Parts: sequence; structure tokens; C-alpha cells
Amino acid sequence: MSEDIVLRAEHISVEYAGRRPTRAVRDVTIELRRGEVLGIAGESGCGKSTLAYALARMLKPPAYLTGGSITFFPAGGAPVDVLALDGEGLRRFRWNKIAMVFQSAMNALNPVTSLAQQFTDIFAAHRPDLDAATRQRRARELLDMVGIDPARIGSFPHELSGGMRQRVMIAMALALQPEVIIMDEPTTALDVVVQREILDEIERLREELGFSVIFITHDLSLLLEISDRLAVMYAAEVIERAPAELVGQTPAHPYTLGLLRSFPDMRSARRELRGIPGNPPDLRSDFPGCPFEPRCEFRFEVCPTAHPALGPPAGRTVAVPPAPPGGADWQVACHLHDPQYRPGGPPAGLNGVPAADVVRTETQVGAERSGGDT
Amino acid sequence: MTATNVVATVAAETGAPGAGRLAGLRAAFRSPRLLAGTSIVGFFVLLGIVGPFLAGNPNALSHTELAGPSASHWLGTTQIGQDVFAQLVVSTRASLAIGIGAGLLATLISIVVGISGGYAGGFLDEALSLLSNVVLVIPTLPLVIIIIADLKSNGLGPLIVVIALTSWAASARVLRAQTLSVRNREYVLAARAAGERGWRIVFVEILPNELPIIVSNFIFAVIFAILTQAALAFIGLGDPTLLTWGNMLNIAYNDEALSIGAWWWFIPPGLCIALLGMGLALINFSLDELLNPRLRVYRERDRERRWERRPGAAR
Amino acid sequence: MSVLQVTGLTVEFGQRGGAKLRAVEDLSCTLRAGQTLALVGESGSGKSTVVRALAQLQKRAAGQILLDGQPAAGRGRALRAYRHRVQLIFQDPFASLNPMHTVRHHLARPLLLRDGHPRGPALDGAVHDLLRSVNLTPPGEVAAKHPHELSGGQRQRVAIARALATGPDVLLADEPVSMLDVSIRLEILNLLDRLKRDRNLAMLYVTHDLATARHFSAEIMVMYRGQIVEHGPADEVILRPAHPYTQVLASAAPDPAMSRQALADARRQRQAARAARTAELRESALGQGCRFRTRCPHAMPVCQTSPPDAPAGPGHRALCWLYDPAARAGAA
Repeated sequence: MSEDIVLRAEHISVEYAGRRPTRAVRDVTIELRRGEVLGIAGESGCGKSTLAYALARMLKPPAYLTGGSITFFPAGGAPVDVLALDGEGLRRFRWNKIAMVFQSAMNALNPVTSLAQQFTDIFAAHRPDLDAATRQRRARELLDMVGIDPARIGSFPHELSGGMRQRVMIAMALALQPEVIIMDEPTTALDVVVQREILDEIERLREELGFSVIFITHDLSLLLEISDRLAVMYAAEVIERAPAELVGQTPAHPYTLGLLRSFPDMRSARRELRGIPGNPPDLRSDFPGCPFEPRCEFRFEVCPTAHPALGPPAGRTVAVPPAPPGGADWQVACHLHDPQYRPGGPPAGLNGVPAADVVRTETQVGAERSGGDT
Repeated sequence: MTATNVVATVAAETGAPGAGRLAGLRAAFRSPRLLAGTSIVGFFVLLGIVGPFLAGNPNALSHTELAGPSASHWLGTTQIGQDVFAQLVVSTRASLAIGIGAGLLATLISIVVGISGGYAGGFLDEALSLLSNVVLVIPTLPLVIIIIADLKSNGLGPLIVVIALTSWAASARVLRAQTLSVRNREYVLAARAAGERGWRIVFVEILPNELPIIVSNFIFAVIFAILTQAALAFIGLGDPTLLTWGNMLNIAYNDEALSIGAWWWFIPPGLCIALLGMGLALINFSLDELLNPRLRVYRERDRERRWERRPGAAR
Repeated sequence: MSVLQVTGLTVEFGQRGGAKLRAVEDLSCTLRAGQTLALVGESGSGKSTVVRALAQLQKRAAGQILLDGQPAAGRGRALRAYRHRVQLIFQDPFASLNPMHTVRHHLARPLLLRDGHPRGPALDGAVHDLLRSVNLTPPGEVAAKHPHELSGGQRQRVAIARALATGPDVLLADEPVSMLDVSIRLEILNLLDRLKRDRNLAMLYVTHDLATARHFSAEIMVMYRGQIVEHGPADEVILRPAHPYTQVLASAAPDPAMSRQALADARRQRQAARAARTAELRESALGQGCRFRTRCPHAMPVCQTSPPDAPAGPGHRALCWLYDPAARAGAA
């Protein structure tokens, strides 16, 4: 993973038009470095999927990009202003440079045409120079690359299992050897064993072909394993951006902490488990203060009135990797880290010391013991 | 998540008490299609109810035979001097009666056959399906012609019954298919798991969810009934003294109105049939939009008006 | 004190081409008052079918269900009485409520089905009590809403309240939180746990998530392709899985404690193991014998015949030849 950026999206805002427009993405800035896996975590309604579609320029009405810029830096080429692309330029950009793997393969694969036909369609649209024989060969190679028997090139989507269909989606995304692949919940609908296989496959392909990945999911525990860096989204904004290895133990934002707590560790001792009370906010409203404030256990006086901006986390006792030129590596949008509002630093759990209930402990809280009555 | 999913999730999480449904209805009523459709149908219904009291005697003979539209005869006269306008107005009532009567009866039969077969499954389902399929396969119009021609009585009642009895099958099949799908939905299973009785489940849980399709079927049945009666009348079957649009067309045709060029006689009834059909179809389509948000046509004009003010807006 | 005892439950589905599909084969378990039994398996393992069979929404081909020692009735008044005592919660909060009816309707109907429940203001009171017991307040407002006006978590609470309305002794929860947002899941599971303890319910918790299965239940059954392959105390099954399938499941779950290096090493090991078996083999159908043998790293020739239900520890059983002393002696 280099410091060199392959995709930069700045101040992206997306709205869904309607009587009361829904602002699904609000002033989001993300940078993807060449060869890295950037995870985007968040729950339903946080805007992460909308962001993905915006980056790939696949937004459809009633969704509209209402602000921001997206710049793509191809290897050995001049930077491309993605939003300025049109017609032929856009066609050459889509799928060639940035491809996407969608959440539900059955929604993205055509149920009435065979796999061979669907691959042929991709090549016909983007590589008209290839002849039929070459297209067939490439298609079989792609299937083999993702671990499917190439003889199944003639199958229809419904004849394949869920895991195989998702592999086909990945193969189709790789067909034109893009530099960036955006994956929107690619394994959510799959069993944990198949999910593990698919993730291993993605990792192997990444090592072999060198593309960068934006991986979007609600499964934060998964992202901690596979991402290099991750961004947590809440209410259409990025509220924390951090190195994946560190944020799992020492999150800076209360929402990230709550989200981490929502994934109990199977192997740890029994403890009291809690999620986050309340519901995500309505994205048709504006938030003068912090959007997470109603559900936050650490909220204080300034939170409902001032909207927090991204800034460096305070009180880190764990060493943060040195910031690359052009931007800090760890940012959090929370007043608890603002020395102006909290000169003493954030409370325990967010101050860089691992929280008690995110790490293994020996405490048992009223849990059932194996084999006996309560 | 796709665009529609996001919006749906957001809407669900608003928790606005009852406002969601009503606001949706109000918005839909702004649909030009629905307004147009209801206006047309409403107009005819009003005409049918009130018209005959105001339009004068359709059967009165006069000495101005085959005259074009004038001040005293708005739509001219027939070959024996009857006022076409009066006839048209009185026909409206009969045509609507047949349409709505037969439509209602056909829909009722299709509900009973379709839903009970779909829910019960097993032998009952097989038997009712067979019945539906047989009735469906027999060509409707020839069957109706044969039955009507054979009937001794000429009244409105038997006519309505015959048309209904020959046109319920397609709707029944559709309802059966939908019932098969609804009956496996989890809220139906939950009702069964709570111990609800079968008939209650059908009426309370299943039927309300099939209302959109039932209403749609009803509208089609009405159009079909009116057209069938018009066809019957046109070939001279049914009660010749009954004044319906179809009968008017029949008489006009027999009296050579076409070759004489008495357009005021044969165009208005045909136009009425077409207009009523169109009005009903418009209501049908806009109901689909109302009940299935995915079919809603996004109004380009509104979008352009709002976004042109924003600099640099792209997609 | 056992409340629901199941022996030899088998459910078959007819398929095109004649051969019957055994969705559930020879399942036996006991649900006890005040305790949770977790049924863990992946999609297609048959776990939802088990729930439906226990709720008598699905016919069984074989097996016996005893409620408080009495055989479960199949029809009529006795069946309705059974239904009142054994309730279920579905996975999809959006599908399990009828979009046409209010919350009040959903809760009032099962209340009224209890013989002799009064109508009128007492009914409203009972509806509000149910809503309060699942933390949906203010009850008056919530009762008037339609399902689409509620969030996923709120709908699932309504579904739980509905299940409690008939006064059940057994609660069958079929993946009650898998379709909910992550941060809400634990709230709902905690609610179920509290209700179970307060009302001394016997609970069956069906899930594919090993972590919550371990934390919320005393006993775990692991299901693979219709069969129970492992059954034992929760801690034992998770921390010391006996059956190779359970071991695969446990290792597939993300482990936050592993370092990057360890993760990469584990991945390379898995890939090497997988490369040794062709993709074809993994998808093939099976005749007799252990259903897991094509994916099992410990497969032996004897696995071609159906494995016995062998002991793997105190109260811990596994359907595997590895724990049959004779087979191990033969293989050694």
C-alpha cells in the first residue's frame, strides 16, 4: 500500500428529490490509496450505498449529486475529473477504471441470459475490438480466477448457489481489469463460511492484480480484519476515519464504540451486552448539533447546539502512524475531542485506552451458566 | 441499498402518525390521470342519474326527421324524428347499469372462486382451477350470443347475469395466483400460528391485501360488460326496446345512418362508449401508480425547475 | 422441568422428479422453562423448517412433540390450545406484520383468541400493557400506527408483543434480529432474554450467529443439511467444538484478537486446503453417509456410512465417526 492516491472524492453531497428532499450524503470527503482496502462502515440509512453509487457515477433519479468533486488518478496517466465525464468518456471510464460489485447478485445478474452472454455483453460494450473466440476465452479465464469451474460458463444465474453468484459478480467486475473496485455489501446475503471463502478470494486477487477496494458493509468486525483504513458513516456524514488496526481497540467516536460493542466476541467470557438505544435520524431534517447526540451516552451541553467537524482525536496514548503529506490519518467528528469544549480530553473508552467491554474480560454479569438453571 | 430502498427506510423511520398514508393519497390525487379519469366517469354517472329527468322524451316522434344538430335538437334527430340527445342521455343509465351490475357480479364470483381455491389448496383448488380454465377457454362473445339468443326473457337482469357468468374466469385465475403468494406471507402464518380460523384469515388478512387487484379487475369487468352488451345490441340480440348505446348504434346502422352521413346519430353513442372506457382505464392506471410507488412517473418538470438553480449540479 | 420435548422430528418435501428432500432428519431436543436453546446453522440447513414444524405450521413426516408430557394435538380445539402455548417470532420484521392493519389490531386479535378475554376498555388496557412490556411507549400512540410508520426494531418489538399476547409457555424465535440494524440487535436480544426470565418461558433461538448464540443460551445445537451434528452446553460447543463443521463455522467468524500476520497466515492455510479439493466436489449431492464428508478435513473411509451420535464430552454429543471409539481404533 503506497501513499499515492488513486481516487479522491471531496465534499460530496447527494440528495433524493421529493417534497422534502432527503440529504443522503452530506459533505463527505474520502481518499483511496493505490492498493489499499478502504472500509466504509455504517448501518442502514447512513448513506454509504448512495456514496458508492455516486463514486461510480451510477446515481439514478431521484438521486442527484448536489456538490463536490471526484478525481481519479490512473496509474501513469493524467488525473481525470470524473464528474465532468460525459458520453464516450464516461462509457470508457465506467467498468474500465472503476467497477462495482453489488449487494444482491440476483438483482444485478440478468436472470434470463446465461453467464456467457453476460460476459459477452461486457466485452461487446467496452472492448469491441475483441473477437468472439477471445471473449469466450477471457470469460472462462475470469470464472477460473474466482474459483468457478469454467465449464459452467453456460449456466444461468438461478442454477448457481448464492456464493457462486457472488463470485460471478466479482469476475464481472474484474473483467476489464479496473484499478478500483467498489463493493457494496458483497457478502451480506451469504453464509459465514462462504463469506470467508469470498473474502479470501478477494484478498488473493488483490495481491495478484493490485487493484484498490472500497468495501462497504455494516459488519464492522469484518472491516477490522480486511481493511487498511476505515471510515464510519452516520447520518450521511463521515464521523470517524481511522487506521483499521487501531480503531478496533481504541475508537474515538461514541458511535464507533457503540457499533463495536454490538459485535460480541464469540470467544470472550460472558459479559453484559448492549447495543445503542434509539433509532437512526430522519435524513430529511437538518441537524444543528451533532446528529448522534440523542443516542449518545457521553453527550454534554454543547452537543445539541454545535455541529462537530472532523478533527484529530485527543488524548491518544497509543502511537498514531505519522500523517502522510496532505492530511491527517485519524479524524473524528466529536466535541469530546475538541480541546475548546473539553480541555480535559475525552472520557474513558474513547481516550486511547482500550475500553473494558471491547476487549476480553473475566466479568460475568448474571449470565446463564452452561447446563444449569438460572 | 438502491435509491428506492433508502427512501422507503427513511419514510419508515419517520414514525409520523398516520400522516404518511393520507399525504400519499393527497399527492396521488394531484395526478392528472386520476383527475381526468374520475371526471369522465363522474360525468357519465351524473348524466345517468339526473339526465333522464332533464333531457326530454327519447321516444317522442317529431316531424323533423334526420335533421342535424340544432337549437331544439342538440344532437339532431333519428330517422323517425326522435331526439338523439334525449336517447343518448337515457341510454347512459341503462349502459351504466349493465356495466356496473355485470362488473360487480363477475368480480364477486371471481373473488369467491379465486381466493377460496388459492387459500384452501388441495382438491378444492384443483376443482375450482379446472372450472376457471374451462370457462376461460370458451370464447366469451359467441357463448354469450348463444345463451342470450336462447333465452326466453329479454330483461336487463338475465343479461347482466349472463355477461357476468361468462367473464369472471380471468380475474379468478389472477386472484388465485395472488392468494397463493399472499398465503405464504409471514403475517398470514403468524395469524395461523395465533390460532385464527381459516375464513377469518381470508377476510381479514388476505382480502385487504388483494384490494388493488380486485379494484382493477372490477374496472376491466365494467368496461368489458358495456362493450359486450354493445356488441350484442349491435347484432340485434337482447331487448330491442331497451335504450342503450349499443342499441342506438344498432338502430342507426340498420337505418343506414352511415351511408346517409347522419354522423350526429351514430358517432355520439360510439364516442360515449369509448370515453367511458378511457375514463375507467385512466382510473385503473392511476390506481396502479397510487398503490405501487415504483410505477410512479417522476415528474421531470419539477426536477428541472428545482435543480437549475444549483450551480454545478451533475448526476 | 421440560416443557417441549421433541423426538425424532423429520420433515420431508416432495420435489420435482420424485425424490423427497429431507429438510429435517431425526431431530431430538428439549426446551426447558426459563432457558434458551440455540439452534445454529446456515441458510438451507433446515432450521426455519424446524421452527415451523414445532409451531405446527408444517406437517412432519415422523417424530413426536410432547408439550408438558402430552402429545401435540393435530387438529381442532386442542390444536388451537397448543398454538396459544407455543408462539413464534419471524425473521423479517417487514413481512411479519400485515401492512393493512394497525398495531392495535395485531395485538388485539390474539388477545381476543384467548377464551374469555373481555372486549372494550379492558382490551385496550391489555394492548397497552403488551406494548409497555416491549418498551414501545407511549402505548396509545404506537397502537394507532401502521407497520410502515415504524422502524425495523419497533416492528420486531410489536411482533414480540404479539407472540406474548396469547400467554405462551414456549417462544420460538426464528432469526429474530438478523434483518435488523446491528446496533439494535443486542437491544432486542436483551429484551427477549429479560422477557424469558420474567415469564419463565422456554425459548428456542434460531440463528446463524455463533456469538449471540453463545451469549444468550445455555445449550447449542448445530445443524447441517437437516441433521443435528453437534449438541451441548453453549461454552463447550463454541470454545471446544467437536464436530468438524462446527470447527469450520467457528474459524470462519471474524476474530478481533488475531494480528494481521496471523490472519494472513490463516488465510493462506485455508486457500491451500481448498485448492486441494475441486469446486465440483463441494457442490455435489450425497447419498448415504456423513453429509459433511466432502468438506471435512478429517474425512475417513468409514465416513461413507452414516455416523453415530457419539459422546464428545459431558453433556456434549457430535454426529461424527471421530468420536466413535471403535472407528478411531480402526483408523489408528
